This record gives sequence, C-alpha cells and structure tokens, in this order.
Amino acid sequence: MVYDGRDVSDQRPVQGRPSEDAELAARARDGDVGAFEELVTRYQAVAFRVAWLVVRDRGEAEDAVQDAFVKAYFALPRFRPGAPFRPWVLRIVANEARNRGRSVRRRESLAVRAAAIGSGDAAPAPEAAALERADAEVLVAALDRLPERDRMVVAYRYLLEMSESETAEALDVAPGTVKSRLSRALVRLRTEVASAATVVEVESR
Amino acid sequence: MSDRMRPPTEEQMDAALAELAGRVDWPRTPDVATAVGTTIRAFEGSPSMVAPRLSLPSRRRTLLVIAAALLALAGAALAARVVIELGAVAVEVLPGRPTALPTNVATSADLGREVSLNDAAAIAGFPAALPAALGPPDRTWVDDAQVGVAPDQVVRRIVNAWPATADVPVLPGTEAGAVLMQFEGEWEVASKELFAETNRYGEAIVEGRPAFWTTGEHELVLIAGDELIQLLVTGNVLIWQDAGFTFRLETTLGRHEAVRIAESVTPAIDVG
Repeated sequence: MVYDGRDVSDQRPVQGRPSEDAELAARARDGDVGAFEELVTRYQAVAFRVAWLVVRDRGEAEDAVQDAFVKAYFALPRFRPGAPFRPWVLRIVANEARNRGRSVRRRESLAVRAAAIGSGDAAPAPEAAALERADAEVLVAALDRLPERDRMVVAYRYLLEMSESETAEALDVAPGTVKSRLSRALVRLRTEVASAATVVEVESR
Repeated sequence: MSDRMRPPTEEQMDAALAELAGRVDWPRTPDVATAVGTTIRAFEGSPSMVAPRLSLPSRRRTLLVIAAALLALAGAALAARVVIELGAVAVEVLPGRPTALPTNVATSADLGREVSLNDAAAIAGFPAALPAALGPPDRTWVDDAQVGVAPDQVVRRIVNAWPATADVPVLPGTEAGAVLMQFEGEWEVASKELFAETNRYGEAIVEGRPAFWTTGEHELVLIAGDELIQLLVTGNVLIWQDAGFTFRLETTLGRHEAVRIAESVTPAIDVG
C-alpha cells in the first residue's frame, strides 16, 4: 500500500535466507540472470533504504541501487561461495551511494509515523525526562546530526535491524569495530538528544 | 547549565531506537529487478558494447557520440547534456554551474599500486609510454578496472607522475607537475564531468589525430578495481589516442605545450 509516496506496507527489512541465497548466487554466477533478478527482488527494499540513508535523495538512491546490483552481478566471480549475500551486496550499494552522495543538494529527512495509541502511560523516571520530552522527531534529528559513520552504524543495527556480523560485513569493518563505533555513536546520540530536549524544554516555558 | 537535561541512559536510548525502527516511514521502494536484469542481458549480449558505466547516474546516460563528433561539438553552445567518448575516457559536458565538485585530488592510493616502471610493464602487460619532453617519471602506479564478468574484461592502467619544475609548474593540490594516465583498449573506464559555464574545452591535434583539451577544475570519475572513485582535477587536460591506448595528460601548461609533450611520447620498450 502506498500513501503519499511512502511505502506503508513494507516496513520490515527483508531477512536473509542464506541457503536459498547461496543457491541463487551460484546460479547467477553461472549466468542465470533470472536467479539474480530474484536476489534483486529479495533485497532491493533493504538496499534502497541503505542507499537512501546515505544519499537522502530518492532518485539518487534508486540509481545507486540499480547500478550497484548490476555491478554486483559482474562481481559475482569474486563473491566467495557460501558467504552471506545480503551484507556483501549492501556494501556495494553503500559504496555506490556514497560515490553519488556528494552531488546531492537538498537532502530528504527521515520521516516517522505517529506512535501507537496507549504507549507511555507510566510516569517517567527523572533520568527518562529527556526522552519523554524528546519525541521521535527529536531522536531522528539527533541521528541526522551524527557523522555519517556513526549514523550508519546506528541505522544498520537499529533501523534496518541488521546483526552485528552483517553490519560489520556491510560496513567492511571488523565486528569489534562495529561494537566500538556503535558504542561511541550511542554516547553521542544520547548527548544530542539531551541537548535537543533541553532546547525544547526552555522554548516551551 | 541547570536547564541542561541529563542524557538518557543506554537502556532508554536502546528502547527508543528500537521503537523508532518500527515507526520509520521509509520512501517507497522502487522495483529495480527488471531494469537490472535488462541491463545485465544487454551487456552480456553485446560483447563489443562499451563497458557498463556502472556508477554513473543513469539519468546522465543520454547519448554516446563517437570521437569523430568531438570536433564538431567542441566549443559549440550547449543547450543539453552531451557525452563524448574518446577511447577509454568519456567526457560529459553539462550545462550550468558545478554544484558539488569532489574536494579530493588524486592521492597515491587513488592511482593504484605504486611500482617501478619495469614492474608496471610486467603487471599491465604493456610498456609505459613516456614523453621524452618530460624525461623519466619519478613515480609510477599500475591499476586495473573490472569492466565485465569475463576474466579478460579488465582494463589496465599505468599512471606516471613527474615532479614540478620551473618549466612544468606544480598541479594545485599535488606535488606533481605532470601526470600521464595510459589506458589500454577501448573500454570506457573514466569519465570527465565538465560544466559549460566554468570549463573551457575544445579540440587539439596530436600527431594529426583529433584530441580533446580542457581547462578549469572539473571532476574525474575512475573505475579502480571494482570500485569507483571521484576526483577533483585541478590542471589542464589533454586526451588523445594512439596505438590502441588512450592517454590523459594533466599539467598546468597551455594547449600548445601539452601537445608538444604528447607528441614526444614513445613506448618505453626498454626501461631497465
């Protein structure tokens, strides 16, 4: 279902199916373009989100995804048989998007839907005050202010719900680097949120 | 100070992000599977086709013009985007002003693996062609561009650099006075992005053959391995073809001097 240009029916990232992926990748490597198209269909949603998170422009993200998949097909001879396909292709997508991102003039913002009714009934603890005041938009804005490497590791782990090892593969870093980078990013994010919530608090007085 | 909130705890942030994941209103995912399949089949079905311009914006893939059209196009008033192909190098001239040039001038890592001249010839499978007017280069790199699925669909590139001298002034942002790229074959592995309002470009003649000349900062997009890199070009560039190779010479010199250097190029059969 599409509403106002946004996809509201496909909010969950596609999960990997490694054994099927391996078979499709092997067939594609042998020249079966149809098998590769199936892999594209399977992963284009998460690929598009990765690209969009980098370039923040739908047109550029679409181009990046399309070209990245073509590039991935021709790189299949160098794809290690049995390795997970999804993070491998997402790395290509992210690189492709990064190469294009510099030319984007006006970046689109991450949008959030309204929260579910009935949440947040409990009285907030003092330490939770910042987050209670800071709604999702504040959190998104804080996320946007992070440097790209921090923003992407948070987005991969939380927004795209990728595992630590998948994130490491997609970012082309060691799993330990994902841990440390995420840890630093979350500290920065917490500080940003507190800052933004302070501004909201002062302005609302 | 006293108005400053305490940052949320790790657990609170973790919960907030987890909740956010379910609320993100992602832009609609386009269906690219068919387009990807069509593109792949087109390239596989046309072995003589120009290599896929894997990372250039598809909206810019508007027109391919053979080298013969170069002279007719050069200097013309451009109302539309134009793509020119000269061997391994494509040139795009875009109307308007540049909005976002890359800021990085080529570094050693961008140019490939630094090797000796002899090693470059051994790795690339052809000797470096060197301009006698510049003497021996002080640095050499070799790299390749994967342009297709077959093992032989690799384009080798040798890059030589010469130090700046009184006669060959330094290229802004580099330590070199001249950089010569030598691409094997016809596969398109590099693209120059020019802008009609800020770049000057036109024809040149090297050894009686048409060449392309440009001045002004612009962008160079290179396929390096299976990656694509975008570089800021700060010098004047002469592009020409000879003996199955495409050459790209970057200096701060004028057209006449650049052509003189180009015409002094000879294959370095014995560089030992």
